[in-house]
Amino acid sequence: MRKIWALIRATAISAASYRIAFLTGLLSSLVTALPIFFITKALQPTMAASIAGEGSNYFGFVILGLMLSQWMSFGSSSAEDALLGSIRNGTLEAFFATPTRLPTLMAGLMGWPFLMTLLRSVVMVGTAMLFGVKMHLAGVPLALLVILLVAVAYSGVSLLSAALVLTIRTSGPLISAVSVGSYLLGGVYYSTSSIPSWIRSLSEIVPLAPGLRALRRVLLEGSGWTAVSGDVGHLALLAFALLAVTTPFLLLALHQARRTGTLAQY
Amino acid sequence: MSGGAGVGVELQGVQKRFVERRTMRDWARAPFARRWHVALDDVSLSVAPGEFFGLLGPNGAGKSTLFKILSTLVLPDGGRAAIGGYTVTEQPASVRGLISPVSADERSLWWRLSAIENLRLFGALHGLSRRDADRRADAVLALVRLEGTGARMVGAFSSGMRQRLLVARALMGTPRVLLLDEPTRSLDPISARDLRLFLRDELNRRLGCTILLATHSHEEALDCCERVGVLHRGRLLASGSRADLVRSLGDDRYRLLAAPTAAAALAVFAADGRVRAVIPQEPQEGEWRRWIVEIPGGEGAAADVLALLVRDGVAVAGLERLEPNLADLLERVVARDTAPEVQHA
Repeated sequence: MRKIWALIRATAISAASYRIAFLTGLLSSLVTALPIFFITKALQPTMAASIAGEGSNYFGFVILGLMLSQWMSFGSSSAEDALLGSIRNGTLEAFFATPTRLPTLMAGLMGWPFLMTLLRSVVMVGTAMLFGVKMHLAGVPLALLVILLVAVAYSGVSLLSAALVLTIRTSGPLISAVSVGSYLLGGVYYSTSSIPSWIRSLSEIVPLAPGLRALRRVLLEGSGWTAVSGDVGHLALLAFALLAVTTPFLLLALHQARRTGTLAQY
Repeated sequence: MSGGAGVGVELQGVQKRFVERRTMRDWARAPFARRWHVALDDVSLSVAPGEFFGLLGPNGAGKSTLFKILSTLVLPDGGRAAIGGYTVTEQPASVRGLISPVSADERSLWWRLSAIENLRLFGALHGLSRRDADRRADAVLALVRLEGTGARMVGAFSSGMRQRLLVARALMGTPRVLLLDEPTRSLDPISARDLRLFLRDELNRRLGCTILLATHSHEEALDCCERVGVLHRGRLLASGSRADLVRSLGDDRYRLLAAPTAAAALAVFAADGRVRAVIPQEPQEGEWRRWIVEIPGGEGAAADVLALLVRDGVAVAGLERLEPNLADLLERVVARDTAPEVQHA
């Protein structure tokens, strides 16, 4: 844990030294919420029926959608960012030559983006509450579990893209395709019940879909574990499967990079 | 303080080759062909615990590849590399607990952090508590003469300061083997000399840390190393102490001071192979002429040549063995090595 904390601390100090970028990053979540408030207010009458099962407030619905999609972005890019950032900075080999294991290094390097995403999530939910959205705060622990599972599920994509970058120097359109697909099928702006039935089954393999359903029920409707256990179980299964499939690819890519001497090349 | 009793380094027939990057044109002509660059070719070497060993070689000789293999960052294609009995391929985690590589790459520092934060980070990655890391950071900063600069951002350091900080960072763990890849590359001569003395006197002699120093500077290697190895095009051409190398590579050169008539006799000796090279020297000293003569076969052969000159009636004022210049010898060894650099699959 000490090693992870040391890496988070170093990353945080480094990030905070870029003061303007750091502050604008924090403010962006706050600013994003404002236009969404007015747009969703205008669309509320149209959307009310379709989102009835996931909280009846469309502003809250979209804010939680955007908040969880930030966790999707964190999950799907943080492992790749951690590795590539270290390669570009020239620190990767120095890290790998220490007696610190790869999972610890990765956890430490992903820690600061994790905390920043958490902070942005708090700002977004707080802003929604300020604008009158009723959040059931008793469901926060369950909501955190859902968020964590979404992040873990998408980190499988990130491990695969990191493996591709280590091997062929590009992950191609992988992350973009996953993001676009998740936005379309995950239900960020609309309920997945509105998706045409012929592609609705596809949304069940997108971690964002069960994640958003569970998160909205917990925070907007005050549902408990029994109401969302199906979605959470589904999400946990996806997270496990994605990690189990993609982790060997990264380990293989690292082995290959050590063999070809390209570990620190980009 | 920093560093622990050294452990040995063993290399047996280590081989490494890399695929060469090809142009688009080559690729279009032969998509499946590969060109290999041989980085290490059957390198065997043994460095004793607590020894200061220098690895000499020009750029591209394979020094950095060898160090990356020892740091577990690159896997060898063949052979065995071990540190303290742990092999780099089978027990990399144990190896990483023993070694500390010092790269000359300043980019591997965190430029937006202060020097002390850089050291704290790597102290933690070596398993130190915050208190121990702080204590050690202060000590190593003093050792590399960066005391008082701990709070400054590394980006504001000079190149030499960063180089010293890289050494300090390597000392944050408890290195039993220090791998130094051209550590004085960015230092001014005085700082480079100071660093060499520090490495030799403090880390190697006082603390017993095994040190491998890769450099292309003969002066640097001979200044601190007990033994040196000469690496060229991935092959270890020679290794040993200064005396060993002089003995094995020395070409038995003598300074001859004799009457001008010696020239004819020397020409005969060169023709029959008794002497290998005869180089007239300027200026002359009165009646006497000077030559540098290479006489293979040791001092006995030199005595024979002297006796033959005297027998032929040549007046000889002196025959003095020249102390070989090791740097010159090593350069000649490298120049002699003309092995092909590229193999085709």
